[in-house]
Amino acid sequence: MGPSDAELAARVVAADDRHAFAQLVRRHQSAVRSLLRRLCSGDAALADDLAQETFVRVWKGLRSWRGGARFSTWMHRIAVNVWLSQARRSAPPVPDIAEAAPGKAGAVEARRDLERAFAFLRPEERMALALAYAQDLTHEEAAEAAGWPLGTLKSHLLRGKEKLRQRLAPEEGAA
Amino acid sequence: MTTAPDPIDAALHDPGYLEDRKFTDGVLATLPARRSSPRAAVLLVAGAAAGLLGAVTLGEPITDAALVLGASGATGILLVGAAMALAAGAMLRAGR
Repeated sequence: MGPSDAELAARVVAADDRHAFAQLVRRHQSAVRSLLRRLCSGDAALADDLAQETFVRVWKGLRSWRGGARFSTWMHRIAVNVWLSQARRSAPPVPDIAEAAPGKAGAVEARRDLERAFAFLRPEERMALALAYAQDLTHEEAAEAAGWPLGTLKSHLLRGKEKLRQRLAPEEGAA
Repeated sequence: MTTAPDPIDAALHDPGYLEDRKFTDGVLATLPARRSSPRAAVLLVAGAAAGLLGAVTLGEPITDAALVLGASGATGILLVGAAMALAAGAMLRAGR
């Protein structure tokens, strides 16, 4: 087991240690990119651009992370803010019904169907689902990352999940 | 009796692991070359502002103060303010 996030962050702050920062990025890149893929409704290229911007902001703002929140909670909050900024700059994409229709293949295709179905959710429902099911975050931490009370997160979560269920239901019936 | 697992729940729980595939290298390549401390920048600006205020208070035209290095007390205040701010920034940086 390697150094903790806090130890790596301390090395970055003390000496601009890029090796330590690379370890942080490698450790968290999958979680951040997965979160952003869901928020971007499966647009992998856009999600990776936003993930890159997220880590650059983490690098620039690491001094302001005081350890009050867990590193991953703080980082997820930055990722959500990066996504929100991008969403405000561009018009919301019109969901492609044909593309969002459930596929038949295995786990990878099912995962893509799920990501694409996020396009039918309101932004706050996407945030709630993406954060609440993000690797390693509790519901309390997800609410903190979204900047909401826990109850707000849970109500968005319920509504979002119900919409996903309706959107993806035909696949469940198919054999 | 056990209830069947919710397929939506299961799918949401499994985002799948994304291989790095040079993602980290891409991030490192876009990092700013050097991060400056905001506190040092604030101190530098405050020092320069204090020097300028001194120059104005002592009645010396700011253009003269900028051109005639070390010729009068006002210019001295300007330079000392900036030098102190730089030194404080360096000390803060070394102390971390």
